[in-house]
Amino acid sequence: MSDSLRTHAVDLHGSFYDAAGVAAAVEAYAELARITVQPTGAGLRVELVVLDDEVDDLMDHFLNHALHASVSLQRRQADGVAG
Amino acid sequence: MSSESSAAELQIFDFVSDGRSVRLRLDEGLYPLDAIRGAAYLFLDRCFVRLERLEDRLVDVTLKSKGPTDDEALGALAGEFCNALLDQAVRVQVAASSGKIREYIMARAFFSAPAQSSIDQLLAELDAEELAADDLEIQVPWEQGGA
Amino acid sequence: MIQSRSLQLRPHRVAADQLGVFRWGRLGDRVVLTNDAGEWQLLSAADFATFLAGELGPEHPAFEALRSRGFLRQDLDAEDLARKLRRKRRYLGAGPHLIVLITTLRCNQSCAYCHASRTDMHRTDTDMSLETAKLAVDHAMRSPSPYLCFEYQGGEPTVNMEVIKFCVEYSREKNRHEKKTLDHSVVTNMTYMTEENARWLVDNGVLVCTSLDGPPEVHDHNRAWSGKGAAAFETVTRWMDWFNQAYIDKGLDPALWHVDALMTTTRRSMENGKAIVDLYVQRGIRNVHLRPLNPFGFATKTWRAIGYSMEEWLAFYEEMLDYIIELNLQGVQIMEGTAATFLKKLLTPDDPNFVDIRSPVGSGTGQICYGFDGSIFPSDEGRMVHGMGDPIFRLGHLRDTSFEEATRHPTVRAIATASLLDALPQCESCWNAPFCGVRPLHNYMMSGDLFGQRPLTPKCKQHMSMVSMLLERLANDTDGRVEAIFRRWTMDRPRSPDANA
Ligand code: SF4
Repeated sequence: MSDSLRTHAVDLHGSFYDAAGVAAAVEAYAELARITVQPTGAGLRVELVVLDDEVDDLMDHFLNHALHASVSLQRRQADGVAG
Repeated sequence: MSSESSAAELQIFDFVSDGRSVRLRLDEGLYPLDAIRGAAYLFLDRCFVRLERLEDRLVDVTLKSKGPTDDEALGALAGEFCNALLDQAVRVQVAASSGKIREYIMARAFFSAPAQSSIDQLLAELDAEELAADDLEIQVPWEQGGA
Repeated sequence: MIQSRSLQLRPHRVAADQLGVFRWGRLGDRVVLTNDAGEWQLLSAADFATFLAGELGPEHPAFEALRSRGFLRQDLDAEDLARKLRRKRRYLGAGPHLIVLITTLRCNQSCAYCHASRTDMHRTDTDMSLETAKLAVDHAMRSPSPYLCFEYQGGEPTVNMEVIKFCVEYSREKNRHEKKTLDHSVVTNMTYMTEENARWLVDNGVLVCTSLDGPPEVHDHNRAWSGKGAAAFETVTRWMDWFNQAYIDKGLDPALWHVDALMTTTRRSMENGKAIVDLYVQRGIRNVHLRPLNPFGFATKTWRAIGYSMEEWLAFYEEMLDYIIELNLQGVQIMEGTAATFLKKLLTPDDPNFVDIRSPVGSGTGQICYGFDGSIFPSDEGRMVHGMGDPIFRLGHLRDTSFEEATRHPTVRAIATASLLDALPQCESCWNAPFCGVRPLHNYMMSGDLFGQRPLTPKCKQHMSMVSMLLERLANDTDGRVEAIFRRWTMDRPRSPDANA
């Protein structure tokens, strides 16, 4: 597979995905993809190069993880719970 | 936000499907951000969810099937999402309206002195607030029709 | 091909200013409303719409219930709800009451599904010493809880009977000053039982809990034992009979004093569900506790042979629940354990304080576990993770960590944070939250993350489905017979304290 086919990029808006949530997803997927995150005006730009061709829909899995982590963190902050 | 608001009008949800995923465009003015996020969270086990902000107040929700699917199933998925969204919107509204009463109950249960001196005073304050509130209508579906 | 479509939904109005404080969710055609005080009410979807619109009047049969339970703003009695909530959460700040002591890792069985890190019988170096046992009792008795239940586990705990005897006697002696209520309970597979030990356990009022997975073809299949000629099933049931007769001979009420049994559900159990329940009934056991296997720690091949999906397990559970209800309708006294836990939450003003199903979870705040070597863990699951080579849940050692340090350890706080339902997405607004609980250690074992993803955790599905099943049965109970049975399941009678003396 060529490198361009293995590279995916998305812009994530800060009102849905926060930096800590995206960082949690980056950590979880570190073995399967090379991921870089750049801040943009409104949020983050994520570039993901697939390292393991066996896994389909890697970017989608990554985004689900990032959304889960972001919502969880936002919820805990709203409730004033640390951790 | 009033019981006197007029009879409910049908709400129309437009969506586009491409054989694997379905995309809905939502107006944040109609559906609070918390409701969109809450509904999206509920669908994380069923499908891949992506949230995008197009411009102020407009949000695209893309639901992508985790396996092979067809247009009928995608239409049903969109329908379920819209219903969940409306349910979440009711939750957000009820929570906003009753949040202070809940805090009062929690404070009375676990701490000796809540911020408000009495529930009567709190309810009076809430009534005054609600009279002044806008009349955002949050809606629960009971009929679903295709178009 | 790209297709554009649209759908129309008929909205309803929400008269928020007329509504009380509530959570809600849809159960098929019905809607369930709940609140933090543990109140609940079922409505049809149409009635719920009327309720939301503030148009459900006093003439409606559900109006009074909705009003008195605080679901309507009218006459909302916040003080009453606060009182009920305080009673439901009495366990908060009460300190650990469940004290798990691992007397040894040695075990003479090697069960297909065993997670308790076990060692072979020659490994006496995995026995708890008397010195460690003394430190453990001293440590545990610093808990502010007025009730403590010492639970002896292993390995096979009776392999180190000396430590069990010591802990029972020493804690009772210490309790002359502390004046707590103490229970002692040993979880044994019975295959190492001797008449002398059995007699001591009966004479000293130590409760006995064993494992009975079902008829011989199920039990012996699950529990490989290179025993002394006899099969595991035959041995367990023989000893159960022995204990039960000994309680009767002592004049103790058999409804209160009998061997309790736990079962582990494997694929083979699911094929024999009714036979398992029948066996429990036949042996006079009044509580069958149907639990799904924890899917972690299995080799894929083993899991394929004995495991199943949560959906499969729930279908099995529902069938068994109905069978057990049916038996009760015929006058047989048997209950399902987890249903009884949830029913206590649904039908009584109290919470059973079951450490695995509460908010926050009991790990470190409702229970504490001492490893054979004096290591301290928030729960037995934490000890298992440690046994698998991950020390994350070790809170310290009895030699150098006080009770206060252990129970306020940052790990205990992290577990509590990760299991406070109000701070978790989805749980925070879930109708089932007043009756539910999440297990961060379970999440950790499944996914390496304390928080887990709610829609993805099988435990969430399990708890929500089980409570839904109970509510559905209560809703369809036109003559009140099922509710009467369910209420009976919620009644615990205390054992005579004299028997423990
Ligand atoms: S774990 Fe699931 S069932 Fe329990 S409160 Fe959370 S969302 Fe509800």
